[in-house]
Amino acid sequence: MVDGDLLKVIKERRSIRDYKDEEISKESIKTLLESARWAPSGSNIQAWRIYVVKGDKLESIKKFSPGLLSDPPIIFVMCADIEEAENKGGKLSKDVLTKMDIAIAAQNICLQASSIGLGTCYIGSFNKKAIREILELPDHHVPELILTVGRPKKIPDPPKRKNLDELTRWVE
Amino acid sequence: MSDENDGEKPIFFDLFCYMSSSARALVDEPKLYGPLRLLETMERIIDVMETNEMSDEFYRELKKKIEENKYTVMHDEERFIEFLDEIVKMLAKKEKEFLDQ
Repeated sequence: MVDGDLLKVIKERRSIRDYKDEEISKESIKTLLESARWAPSGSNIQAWRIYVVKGDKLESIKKFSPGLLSDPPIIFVMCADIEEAENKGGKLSKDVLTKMDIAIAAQNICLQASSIGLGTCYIGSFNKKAIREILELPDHHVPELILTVGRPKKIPDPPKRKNLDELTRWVE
Repeated sequence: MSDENDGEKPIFFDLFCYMSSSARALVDEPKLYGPLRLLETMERIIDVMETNEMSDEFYRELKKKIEENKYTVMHDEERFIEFLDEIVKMLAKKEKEFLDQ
């Protein structure tokens, strides 16, 4: 990897809300899942569970996900295994750390996707109870995040970013 | 509406799913997502109108305008509010046409 390659991918990632009507290959999906697998997690618990959803179930989930506006060919419903999180990491893991871990794993997916010409979007607005019903999730799998995945129709311009001075405090 | 619909989904069922989920989500979401969801509901109603041959050029234009501008809510609040005013104006003009008929 050339120095600066990763920063380029980070800067080029966008939230995609308009997808081509195109299937995503199983090989591509597996590389995205592999990138999630290598994400760090508190105490290395790895309490995320990723449901890869397409077809009729995806269409049903869309109806109960106000934030899911596009037509992605596939979504990842990222769940926390709260039983494993609490057993291995206690209340802190169950209530806080596993959510952070899922977000980190999701970002790995988004960056990997961007690097291979795919688009993604984080969806936080969805009805957990409806999703549990549709996917018949076990009680200990709690949906925390949905990622849409697909080939973008167009790449949006980057939204405005705060400058580093506003974001950073140097402490010595 | 008859109770005996042969198990077929009523035409507004999907819309009810969306609206109920939005209602619940909006309890905890940013204030401006409320207007956004209402606009998206309009889009979905227009889709139902299209499917049932109740739409015309005016509603297609309305939907196109919503599609093109709704995401300004994410990065340009001022423009989003301006666009909401434009939608209301568009409909008020149409209402006046109905009154004048």
